Amino acid sequence: MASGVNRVYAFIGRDEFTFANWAAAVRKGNTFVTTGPLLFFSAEDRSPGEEIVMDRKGGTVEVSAKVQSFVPVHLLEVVFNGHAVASREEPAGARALTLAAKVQVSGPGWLAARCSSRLGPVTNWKFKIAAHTSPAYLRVPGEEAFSLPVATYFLELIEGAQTYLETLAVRPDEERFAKIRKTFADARAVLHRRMHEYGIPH
Amino acid sequence: MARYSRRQFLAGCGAGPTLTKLAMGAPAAPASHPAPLEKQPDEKFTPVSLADYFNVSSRQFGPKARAKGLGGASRQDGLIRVLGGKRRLQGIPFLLGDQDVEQKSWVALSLKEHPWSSQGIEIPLGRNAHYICLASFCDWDENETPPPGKDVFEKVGQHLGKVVLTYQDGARHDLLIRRRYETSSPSEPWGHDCYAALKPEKFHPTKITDPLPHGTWWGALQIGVGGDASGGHGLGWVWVCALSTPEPAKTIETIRLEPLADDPWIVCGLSLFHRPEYPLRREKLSLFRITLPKPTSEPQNRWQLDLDLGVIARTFVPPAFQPESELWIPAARRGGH
Repeated sequence: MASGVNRVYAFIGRDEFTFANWAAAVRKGNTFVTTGPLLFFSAEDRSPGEEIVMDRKGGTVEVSAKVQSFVPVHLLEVVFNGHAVASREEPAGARALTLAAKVQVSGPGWLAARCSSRLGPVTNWKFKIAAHTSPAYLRVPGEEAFSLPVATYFLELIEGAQTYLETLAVRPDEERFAKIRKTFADARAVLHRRMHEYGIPH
Repeated sequence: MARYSRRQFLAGCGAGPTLTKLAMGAPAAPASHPAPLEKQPDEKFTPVSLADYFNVSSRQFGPKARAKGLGGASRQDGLIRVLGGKRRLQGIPFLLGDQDVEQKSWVALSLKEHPWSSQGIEIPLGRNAHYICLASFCDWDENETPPPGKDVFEKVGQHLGKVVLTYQDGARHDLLIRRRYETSSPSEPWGHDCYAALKPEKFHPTKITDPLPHGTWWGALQIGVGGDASGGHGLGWVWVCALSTPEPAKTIETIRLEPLADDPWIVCGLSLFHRPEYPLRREKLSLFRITLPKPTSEPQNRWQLDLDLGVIARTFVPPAFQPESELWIPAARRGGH
């Protein structure tokens, strides 16, 4: 395992490097997950985790992405709601790539950057070299992006976590156990409520 | 920190989910293999033979591309190999089929018609149980490795089968078998474990001084427990789950195993557990003190301690009590009192 592989990085700025500041940075959402490359992204000068307010009809968003990687990367992309809307390819691979573009977006959703290498796997744990930022959110007042398949999948993952908690997981003290249970129950309730709001039977 | 006498400890174990075996002069079982089941241990478990229902061999099930990743002979022929014989998986005794790839050793259940699969089997039981323990696996989820550009969700929670309990009074109860919950494929990407099932090999204690197979595995050097694996080189995982029965005092007349999907569900073993505690949950680390007949003169490795459900994290022999040095403290070092 090489240092920095299989990690989530959170931007804490000039704050002191403490657990509380790190946790706050993770909650803020300016993070990226990586098997090595360092990946940075902004949309309309907003960082991942921040919001951009859009018109109902959508519009054009100025995006910027930058990657630095010890292992050469071959592809850098900007993604809108899961689909690449801008990309830069380097057939020979490069240790540094940048991408700046104006992308058309059709409505509410999210924008993020991702990159990948064709080399590898280069680590002993056979991870592919890639990275993905958390999203910057495109908000349209009065509308929200909602995906039934994604919500259904997340409900399944929540149920899985609840099942693990009730079966295999080491039991903490009663108070902590109740708190963990409530976290998952709350998450489940939020998704259920939103599905009901959209009139989706489940 | 609780302290127990040997009597209290053994009495506690007898009343709880954990059976302790203290053997004098016995060689330690190899840590990397589940111990073969030597005898029916007690009334805690009832392993059920599925030999009359085995309908498929590994050869008939056919080669799988991802089975080549299991290593060993599977690297060449792509056939799935899993543990066989009388085995304790995660401490639970099972009567598994033959490990030979040519022998019918599994019960394959699928809604899709295959020459080797069944639409259901019914096992007469006539016993009660708190838990139905299964050792099973399923085929790999193709959605875990989609081709580039294909946007799919992994089939987490896919209903693969059900266990139908029919009680003596005619009441029925269904227990679901779901992908990545109660069963999964013989190998999985890192972190894709089951929510309610464990790999067959028992955990064992790990030390920071353990030898490394490779220098880059330094991350595995941690004090804890590890080693949940297939039970041998070149073997795939069978997943061990324990399904809670709703009415443990009532006699279960039959157990019926039924498929709920085209994707096959492969059952390798079945065992009943007759205690109310969930048999696969790990508890917090506890300290037990066992007073042996000759605690100071016995070599430490003469006594082998084993648990069926649980892990001996550490064993150590406390030094003999030295009253002079341990009780007598110079007055000056206690603040001059």
